[in-house]
Amino acid sequence: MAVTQRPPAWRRLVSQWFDLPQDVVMDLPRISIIGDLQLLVQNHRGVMAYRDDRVVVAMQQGRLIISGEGLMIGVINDDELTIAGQLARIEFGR
Amino acid sequence: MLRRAEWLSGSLRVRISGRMPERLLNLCMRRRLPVWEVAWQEQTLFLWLPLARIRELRRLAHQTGCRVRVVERRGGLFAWRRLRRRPLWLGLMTTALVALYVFSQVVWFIEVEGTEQLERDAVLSAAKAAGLQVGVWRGGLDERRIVQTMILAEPRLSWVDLRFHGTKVVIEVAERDLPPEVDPAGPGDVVAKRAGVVETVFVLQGEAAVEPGDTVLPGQTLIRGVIRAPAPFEQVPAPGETPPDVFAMPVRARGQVIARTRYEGYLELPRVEIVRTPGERQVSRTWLETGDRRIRLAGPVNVPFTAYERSVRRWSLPLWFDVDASPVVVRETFREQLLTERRRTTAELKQQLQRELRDRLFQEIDPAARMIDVETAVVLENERAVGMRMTVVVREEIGRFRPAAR
Repeated sequence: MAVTQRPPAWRRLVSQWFDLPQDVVMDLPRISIIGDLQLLVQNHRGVMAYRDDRVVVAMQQGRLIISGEGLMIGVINDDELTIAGQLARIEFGR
Repeated sequence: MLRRAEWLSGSLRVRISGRMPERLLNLCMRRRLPVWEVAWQEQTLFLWLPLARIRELRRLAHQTGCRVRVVERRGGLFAWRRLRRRPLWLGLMTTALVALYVFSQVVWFIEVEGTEQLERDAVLSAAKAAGLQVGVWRGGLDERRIVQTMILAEPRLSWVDLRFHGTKVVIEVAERDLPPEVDPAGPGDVVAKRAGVVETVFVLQGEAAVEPGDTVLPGQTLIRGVIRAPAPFEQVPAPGETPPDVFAMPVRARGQVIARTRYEGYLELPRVEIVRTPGERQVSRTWLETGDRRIRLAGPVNVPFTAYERSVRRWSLPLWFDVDASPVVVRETFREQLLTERRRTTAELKQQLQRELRDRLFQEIDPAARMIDVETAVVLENERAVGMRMTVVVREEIGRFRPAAR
């Protein structure tokens, strides 16, 4: 996994200096994974591609690629996106 | 919660066909059109959405070049439509629901908790005498009256509480610690129940242990339960023994001892009194209680008033067979109370102190006692408070029977 586009350095400094959550200051997605069964993405920008073995989620910086089997989008709204199924691989890409 | 609400109002499963169904998904997201269980099956996209938003989805699909086809309908509305076509089934369901409601309103189980010496059957028969038994209609039970009747019906009960859990009633009891049985005709003394100065002693049986003018303390013997008489002739002492001059026989002491007793009390009241007056505002909060869980349905988390009067109404939802988790809707109403300070004058405080002290002392005094004197004295008077002592002198019977130790 490699982060392709980093947020500005000053945001990182502000976050560290004031001890603020990085996802809020740097507008990063927050990703939670429950085992290999469910994945929750907050602060996403939509779905770029969806098949039952691959979901590409757009983010502020790049995209998130989830591979697996029988992938299903549980809930999708402005705030969050949940993906359920047999998760195999998660990648950050441009 | 969203899905349950959507299920009630009806939801649809649709098949989306087209070149870029993801575009439609993103548009739904932007338009806040709730979709769920989005699945890719047989090279086609399927998703669920609320029935009320299908037109909006079709419009968006048209814009994105997709086609929408409804493949499944689910929810209360569709279930109702199906049921309307099956009157027998509808009748059976209605009958079942009515039966469920009726049966859930009847007491089916009674449990007894807290018994130690008392038998469970004794508690159950006391409950039966009060109208609580298996098979009675729960709504017609008056909890307070049942508790009172049970305590009166079974003298070994000192406290009873009823808890209703659906169709189960738990009777929690505390047993009375009964004093050991005393032979009413057995010997014993008359002792003082209060300290005082004896005025008259009238002995019916026994021997006076005090005289008028004596000061006695609580528990002190006033009339001894004994009769002394010269020794009978049969008890002739053996040669060399001292002959007993009296023969003491234990009896039950009887009589009346009148004494002058004092009752004292002290009370202090602050000059500033907080007066509560009802305000105009009120808020309500509604909860759903199931077992130990409490879910807030409506109303604020915190009460926005500093002082308030709280009233609670409870409605139990009957359609539950799980007797331990029968849900209850609780509505709390908070009426605002305005607090204002009022400074009382010394004369006003003295009047109130006299009234309260008199009420307090007169609760202790035996109603048969005769009042001799009442004295009041202000012992504290400053900017903050006024304190008063009251002494009541009465003439009363101070004897009480104490059985002889065995």
